[in-house]
Amino acid sequence: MSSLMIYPLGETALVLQTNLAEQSRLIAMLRHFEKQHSAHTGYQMVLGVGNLTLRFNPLQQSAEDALLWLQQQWALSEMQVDEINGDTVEIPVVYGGNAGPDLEFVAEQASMSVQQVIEAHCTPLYQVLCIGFLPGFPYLAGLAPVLHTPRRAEPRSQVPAGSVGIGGAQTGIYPCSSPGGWHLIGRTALTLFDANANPPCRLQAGDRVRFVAQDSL
Amino acid sequence: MKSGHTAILQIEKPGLQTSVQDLGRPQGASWGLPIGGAADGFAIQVANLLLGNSLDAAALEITLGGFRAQFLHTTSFALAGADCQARLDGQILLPNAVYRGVKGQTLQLAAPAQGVRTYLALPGGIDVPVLWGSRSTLLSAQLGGWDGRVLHKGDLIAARRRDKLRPACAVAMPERGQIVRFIAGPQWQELGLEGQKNFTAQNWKVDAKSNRMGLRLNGNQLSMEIPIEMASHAVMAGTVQLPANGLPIILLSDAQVTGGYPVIAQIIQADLWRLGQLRPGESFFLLPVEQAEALSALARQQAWFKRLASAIATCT
Repeated sequence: MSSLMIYPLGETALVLQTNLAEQSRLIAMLRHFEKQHSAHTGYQMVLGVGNLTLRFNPLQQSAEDALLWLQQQWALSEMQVDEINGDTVEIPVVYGGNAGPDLEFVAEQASMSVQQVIEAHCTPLYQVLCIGFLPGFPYLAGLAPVLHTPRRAEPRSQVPAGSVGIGGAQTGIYPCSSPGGWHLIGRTALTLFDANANPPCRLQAGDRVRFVAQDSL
Repeated sequence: MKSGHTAILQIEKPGLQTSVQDLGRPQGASWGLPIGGAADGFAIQVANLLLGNSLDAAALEITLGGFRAQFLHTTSFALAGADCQARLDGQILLPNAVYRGVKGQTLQLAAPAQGVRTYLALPGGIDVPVLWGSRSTLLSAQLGGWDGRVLHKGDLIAARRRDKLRPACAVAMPERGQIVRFIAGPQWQELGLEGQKNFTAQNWKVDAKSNRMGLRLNGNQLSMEIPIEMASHAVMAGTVQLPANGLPIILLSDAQVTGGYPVIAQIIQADLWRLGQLRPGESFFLLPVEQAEALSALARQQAWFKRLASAIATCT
């Protein structure tokens, strides 16, 4: 049985809280919402990891109506979950050197060679759980446990766009330059967020990602 | 700047941080886009109302004054928000009012004695391209507004409408006060009675490292009764996060879409504007309220805007 809780966040949002095992169902809810409803409901959905938040204008919609609607969407999502056909996107990455200044540190932590780390990072088919933190930043699930590395004691003030990093049990890609505390193991030339593209994000929740090692950007 | 309209204002001194803002961009959450928009959503709407603009028109958000610009054409304009002792060629202007700038005149804003942000509205709003339903600048991602950046000396600002003579009009704004109201957040219980008391009884001070993303607070540190590991979840303006150092962060309009810290409180919608005017070193109290009070405060604010709009319409 799935655990489910819905609680308010202030007077303008409701949080639907379940767990990571239900992420595909939450993704189905978001996709269905974007296809069917986003323009005319007045609602906005924000996907998290194992949770989903519904924002609404309390002067236009009552919290009771929003709650009812959210419960209906959750019930419907059980049938929609099979319909998610996420893309599989290959991300070409140059590992180590200037592109990945922390690769050797990660290898030391894992008691592996640099080459083994690269192979371990390129093996899984990662799932995009949600997009957050920065425009276009994918939260990826599937990092091999041996590569889990605590965040840097001191975050870098500037991480270059395209950097591929490891933070704790997560791996991800910085779509734009930003401060960041993850260990940087490589970089991709692929644009993850392009304000002129439609949609602007290369990746969406529900997509799958595989990293492919290459020699130069 | 790419614009179909004639420039009517030239920036001579942008001050600490001046950017184009409106009421924000609510539709990009699943791309990771912050809502953004004016840090004081109340003042920007007053500035627009005074000029007969739509409420979501774009205006300049000027941070801590220190701003100077010259009118290249005669136009009406409105100022609202922090009182920067504005002067038009030396003549002192009241805050929260409409004026007429004549070609060649200089508008100058000094540092405000109180508050942080002043909004300068022009007829029809500032003319910059719409990006996903909004003209606001997202400085962190260098998107939207004025080429995604703050304004520089020499920038030429155009308005979207030809000037219409506006009657002189000034508004008495509500007092900001020292109290900001909140609704208990999802992790409020985990704070325990002691922590809850600590949160509401103390005079919190705004840290100098605050910006449009968030207000960092200084005071007696809080601790959770049971430390909790959180999965990433949605956060927004007014969300009060508690990082491990025990000092709360209240997110402002450029809040990231998701975060991982426990959420102990959510500032009520009607009081968000107060946060945008809290300056480093200033202190304030946090007052817990129920949903019903949050809703009636929001409805009262909405009614105030309606009354103001009709008052302005009758003096036109």
